[in-house]
Amino acid sequence: MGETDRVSDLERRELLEEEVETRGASQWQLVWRRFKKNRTALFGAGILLVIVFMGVSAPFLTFMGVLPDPNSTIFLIDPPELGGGSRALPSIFHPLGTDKLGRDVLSRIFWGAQTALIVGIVAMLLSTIIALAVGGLAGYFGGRVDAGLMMVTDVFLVMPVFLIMLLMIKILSIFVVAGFGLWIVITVLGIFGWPQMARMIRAEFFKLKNLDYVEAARELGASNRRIMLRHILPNALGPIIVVFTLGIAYNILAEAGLSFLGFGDASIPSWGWMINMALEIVSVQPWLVLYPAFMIFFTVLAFNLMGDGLADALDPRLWR
Amino acid sequence: MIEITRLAKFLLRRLLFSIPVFFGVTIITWALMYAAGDPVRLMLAGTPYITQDVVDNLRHYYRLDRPVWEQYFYWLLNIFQGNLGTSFYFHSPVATLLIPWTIETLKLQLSALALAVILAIIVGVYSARHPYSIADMGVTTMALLGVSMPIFVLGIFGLLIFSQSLHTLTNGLFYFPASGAHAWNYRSFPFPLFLADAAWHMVLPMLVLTFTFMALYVRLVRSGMRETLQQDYVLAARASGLSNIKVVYKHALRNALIPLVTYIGLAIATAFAGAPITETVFTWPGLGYYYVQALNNLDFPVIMAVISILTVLILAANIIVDMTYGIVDPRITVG
Amino acid sequence: MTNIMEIENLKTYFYTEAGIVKALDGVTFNIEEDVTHGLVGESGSGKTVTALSVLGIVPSPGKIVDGRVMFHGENLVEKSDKEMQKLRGNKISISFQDPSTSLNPVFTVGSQIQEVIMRHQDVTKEEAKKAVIEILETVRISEAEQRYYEYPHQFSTGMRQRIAIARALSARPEILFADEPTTALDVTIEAQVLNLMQELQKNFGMDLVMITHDMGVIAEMCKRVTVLYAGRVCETGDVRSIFHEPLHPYTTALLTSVPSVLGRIKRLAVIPGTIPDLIYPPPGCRFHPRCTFAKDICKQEMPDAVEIKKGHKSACIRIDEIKGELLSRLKQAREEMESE
Repeated sequence: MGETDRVSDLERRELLEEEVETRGASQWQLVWRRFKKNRTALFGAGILLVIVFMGVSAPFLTFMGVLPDPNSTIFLIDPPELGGGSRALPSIFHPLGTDKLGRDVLSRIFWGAQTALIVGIVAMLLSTIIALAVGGLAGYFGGRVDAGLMMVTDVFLVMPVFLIMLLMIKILSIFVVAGFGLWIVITVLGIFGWPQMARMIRAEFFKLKNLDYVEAARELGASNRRIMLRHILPNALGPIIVVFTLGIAYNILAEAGLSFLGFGDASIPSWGWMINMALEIVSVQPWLVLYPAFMIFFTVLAFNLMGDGLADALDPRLWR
Repeated sequence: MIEITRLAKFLLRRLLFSIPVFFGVTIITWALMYAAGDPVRLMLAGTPYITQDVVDNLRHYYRLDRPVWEQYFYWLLNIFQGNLGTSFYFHSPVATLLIPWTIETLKLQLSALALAVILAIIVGVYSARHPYSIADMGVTTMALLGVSMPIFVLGIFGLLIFSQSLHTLTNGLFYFPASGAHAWNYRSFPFPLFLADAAWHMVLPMLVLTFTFMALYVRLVRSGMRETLQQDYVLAARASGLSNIKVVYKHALRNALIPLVTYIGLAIATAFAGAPITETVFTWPGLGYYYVQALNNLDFPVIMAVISILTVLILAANIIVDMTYGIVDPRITVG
Repeated sequence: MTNIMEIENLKTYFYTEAGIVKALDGVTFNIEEDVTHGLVGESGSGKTVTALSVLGIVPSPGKIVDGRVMFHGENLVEKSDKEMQKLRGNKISISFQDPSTSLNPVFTVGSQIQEVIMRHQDVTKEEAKKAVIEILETVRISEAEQRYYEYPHQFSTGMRQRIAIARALSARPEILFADEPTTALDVTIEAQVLNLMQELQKNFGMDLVMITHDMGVIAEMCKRVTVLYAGRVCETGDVRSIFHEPLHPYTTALLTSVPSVLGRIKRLAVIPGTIPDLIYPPPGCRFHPRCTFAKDICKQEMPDAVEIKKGHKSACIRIDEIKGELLSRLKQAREEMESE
């Protein structure tokens, strides 16, 4: 083994890595092309664009005075002629009316989009980190590590997760200062949302670690960390993204469910809470339930459509 | 004989797996609850002028003056004797409270699950046999709407339409009950009337639950059937002159059911976990409804008991599903 | 010689999203009684679709759009699905290429054969079971009585193929289409299965139609042969006549790509080009883009097979001009092969 051999090994490794990366790139182009052809998936992406726009624009519109402050109950003192007051009917000043506390419903719908997206995405990011650690290590190392980690995963899969989430939020909200309630919800959703994804990642890593190019990289002396992050992970990305997208949909539904039961953060505009608050008068003013309900429905639908579309585009055979 | 010993071994192994899971879940729950602090202090937080004597007595009564781990072991010891403790809120033994709650939850969830599976198979098979027909488009769209709609929204509007509006429209002559599992005076009913009354109360929650469950399963049955209908063995069955019904419902469906069976194991866990929401919407007196009440009252023994019994139910369901799996797919040997 | 089945101008199209795939576009040939018939061509030439069309089980989105299949004086294409169910597996049968996928994995092999017998014969369950064990023994499954209760995955591939054949034969059909019966098998098992098929054919007195891409199998098994290309018949005739004096450039190409008898494939004279797009097939003779003899006339007319010699039809318009050249090419190729 001379010095020259080492150099050529290095070069070969670089080449090999380049090949893997270019293969990745062309694969993503193909996926994008297939995704573009899928009309329902594009419809989902369209809805999502609107929701994202609502969430992002909410603070600006409020700052500019187009939308009233979603938490301000000042309109209670608005005379009813100006559309103020508690549970006012729709008017020019409040296009969707006001809620029980006299807050503007349209503004809360816009701000709710932000809440839903933050909860869905941040909680899923947390879940993904846990799932990558657990599933990746289990799949890559196998043996005892795998057995132990999968045991933990199985415990999480069979426990009545939603009930434990409720308990955890109840307990945590005793300690945490008001205003951080949303972060409790996000943390709890993140902590319990990983097991299915971890199983999927484990299976992917298990499959990929035995492929030729990974073995080659290993023989060339790449470290475990490098192999996992640079060689296996990029190729497992497809299914991870699909599960990630569908997971966001699940999180948004779960947050709505938690808020509906009164286990969310009342101080932040959330669609679930809006339903909770409007419930007592649903028979008189059903639209106060209807607006947030449709927002939840369309947001979840958008993520579901996109998840299905991505799954189809990534591997039309495997998923259908 | 060999079959039976193999089955026994399988059951034993699954039980051995289930025990640590049960401990894991209960210990996590216990740790969470006692992280919150002294339940007596929390319970009495709104009550001024309480003497230390009363607090001490209460703490001693609920064994709260002992270390946390000792309390857990005491609890564990007790549940094996059928004693689940005394509810802080109802002031009666949790075990006796729990029985009717469990029955109500199982009654609703399992019947909705069974109905959903049967309907999903019928509808899903039809959809798969007529892909991209108008009926199929309708089914797949409804399924997508079903998985995207929060169940409580469906419940709320179900109640609004079939209970309240129907009540108004018919002047109170015909409507579905909005809450509860029985009429208030059901104890005085003769048996046939008792059954009819119970069924009548189940209609609306069943409708909503079945629709939501179906939305999940229809997609699974449809894609499974689409795949199996293209398999060579289905073509071979047709080539043997078998009738279409036999080809579809025997040869194709049996294979398409394999992924469904696996999925139902997971689905049962999600169904039970969703109980708090559905039961709150319909004020259904089951485990989920009382769990939410117990959380709001910080009724720790009830919280522990509900989580424990649901964990046991889910574990049992999983063992049953795994056994069925071996029957449905002969390539998997159970044991 | 009488014909047991006459296939006339059979057209089977697949209505896919990309367009109409003309899998069979006017296939005509006869199957004579008591003679093993070979159906040969590359994959995609329409061999299997022909068999499926005859049985009336073309999978969706395929449809038979034209043509006749005459069997005992009746046109099978016009029959309803109910009527065809009585013929399938009973009078006309098929065994599929890959036994690993054509046997249902979740039922015992015994029950899968039993249900075919029960469907076509008026027998009790016990009688049917006896018949199943008998036929399993006929295809040389040892300990048939115990293995009756086993599942397909518990058998070897060769055994599975024999079980699949047993199922196809269980109701004593008059015609058996054997779709590539040896492709999925090892070479050693291939010979066993071929021998078994010859034996079964003699004992059962049925007609065998061998569907294959392998000219070697044709030479070994068949008396008559039909060569298919891109959903059209190129040539049909006696095996001897076709092997000694092929009357179509495509057949010659196939023959020169036969691996040597010793199995030492030195040079598979691959025919240049690929089978044409069946959605937009080339005009005129389907083979002309790959044919070394193609002239303008080949692009204009779609030729039907006409009788050149007694019992030997060819669909090449220029066959009279190129006959000699074809023969000398074949001779040259055979000499080369022998010298190796």
